Amino acid sequence: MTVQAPGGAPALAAHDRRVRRRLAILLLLAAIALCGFVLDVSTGPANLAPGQVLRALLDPGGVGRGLASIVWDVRLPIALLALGVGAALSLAGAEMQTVLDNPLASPFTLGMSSAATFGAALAIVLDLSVPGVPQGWLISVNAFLFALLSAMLLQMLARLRGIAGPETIVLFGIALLFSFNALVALIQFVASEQALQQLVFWTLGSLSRASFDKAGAVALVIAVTLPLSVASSWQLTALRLGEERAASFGVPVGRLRFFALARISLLTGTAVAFVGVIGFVGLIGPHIARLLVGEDHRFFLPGSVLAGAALMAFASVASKIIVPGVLIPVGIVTALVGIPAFLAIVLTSGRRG
Amino acid sequence: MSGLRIRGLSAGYRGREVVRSLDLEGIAPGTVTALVGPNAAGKSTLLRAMAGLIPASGSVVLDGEDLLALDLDARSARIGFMPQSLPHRVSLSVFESVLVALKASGGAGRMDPRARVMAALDRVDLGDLANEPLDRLSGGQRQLASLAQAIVREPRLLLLDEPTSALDLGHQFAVMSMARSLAEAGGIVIVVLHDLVLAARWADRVAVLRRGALRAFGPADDVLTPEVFADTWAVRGRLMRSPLGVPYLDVDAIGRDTPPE
Repeated sequence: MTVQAPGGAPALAAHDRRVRRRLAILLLLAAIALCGFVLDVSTGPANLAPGQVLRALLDPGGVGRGLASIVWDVRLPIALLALGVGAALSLAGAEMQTVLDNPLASPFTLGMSSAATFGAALAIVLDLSVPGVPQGWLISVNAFLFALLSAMLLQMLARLRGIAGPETIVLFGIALLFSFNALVALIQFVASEQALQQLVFWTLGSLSRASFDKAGAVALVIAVTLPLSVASSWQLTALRLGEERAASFGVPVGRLRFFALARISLLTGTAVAFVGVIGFVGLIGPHIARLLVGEDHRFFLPGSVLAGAALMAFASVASKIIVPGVLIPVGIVTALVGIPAFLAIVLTSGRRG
Repeated sequence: MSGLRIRGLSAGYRGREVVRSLDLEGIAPGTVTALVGPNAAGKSTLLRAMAGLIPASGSVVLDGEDLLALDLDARSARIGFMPQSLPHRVSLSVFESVLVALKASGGAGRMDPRARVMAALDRVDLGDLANEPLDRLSGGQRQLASLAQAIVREPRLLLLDEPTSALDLGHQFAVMSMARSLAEAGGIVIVVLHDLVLAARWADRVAVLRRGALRAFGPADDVLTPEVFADTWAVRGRLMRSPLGVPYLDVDAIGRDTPPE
């Protein structure tokens, strides 16, 4: 079967314009994330002008030691971790929404955060963890291990041939969510007042324990997973047209879903381990990217990364200025920052028609 | 050994066999075959099994090559499959939705993919809508976009699962005449249809499926007999032709026990 000679130069030109516009939107998103980052470093009890911050970042020796210390030791780790966690959760959410064919999927739909919370609760309340882990990393390591454990349970389910459609995986994830929530409640019930307070604080999600090590670990995980995600972008896009159709295009759907879930668990486990439960970014970041650049995953995945990073940067800024002098847990603020941004984009893209 | 030959094909879901050791031989290149039969006869299952989308045993031999033994890449280069269901709520343009069909796996050939996409879209008369969002098309147009996705790799075997179900009369005509012209270019087209008049009008051969097995196979006028209507669809009916040769159905009673005239 052959198809006729090609035509349609105007249509191709329009397609190329669309591609260029999407690249421009990605650059704009990157610029917004960068602005959020600089603003994040500038905001705090000692109010700094963005110009001062930029000087301190680019030339630490050329500014006063106090300024350099505030920027480099206190604020930079927080701002970097905010970018990294936002990017990681949003990328995980984007892949999850695609491979589970569910716009409500996010790293939290599958109970990964609840599992991480349970791991953290074991460490905080019962002091249970893996032997040999330094005291300062107990909570993070536990949270990470339990997030991975929940992901592995899902993977085992997904490998069961003939049973594991996307709906089954989502249902199983919700079951995990409630199971781990119940276990966390049980631990809370027996916890001392002090441990309970610490656990509640952890579940609110906070950037206050940020360090360069943690930011580096998140960056490393993104550096490993993002190229793999982007390399699968045609296959992931095909999956949006339906599992059967994608398979008929030659996409190995089962394998694609397996590796996507592996990336998702690594991204989520790492992010949640360091900052606790931050709910909204993994859900809304991908939706913002979808509205702005569509679902060609070559643009959608980087768009989700940038939208998530920008959201978290501005959420981090808001967490410092809502109550002056008080650092509100950033998990509380993400929805407050994310919802107006999301609504604004929904409304304007609707008008564009 | 050109053409398509199916031998001993069994397929189903979760241990429930829907198609049972089905044989279908003598489907020649350049022809359209309509798969017809009542609901749950196994038409779509047979199509999916041929496309390699569900586990199946037996053989599906195309031009001397067993399709069931091929890997995904090789299979997708030889078979175009148009599922019954249409994607919904997808933020892709029509152009992108066809481009991805070409790019999602290897073995797509060397010609400029963008030119091939435009050629496929022109073929189904959607060239002017290439940059429209898929979601903004009518049901009929989305079905045509789905057809373009299935033909963009220029497959030798094209499997269409109820391609006319959402279409008005004009679009039904358009899709079926397109299937014909694709076949006339040398391929094999197998199309699941509920509309027996469409089958009689457009297909060279009609294969009637009943309870997962082949009930009859041949030219429509030989196959759609009162006996086949009675034991397959449980109706008293027959295929008629107008003086100009246009087929129509004469169905006048329901019930398996109704004896054919």
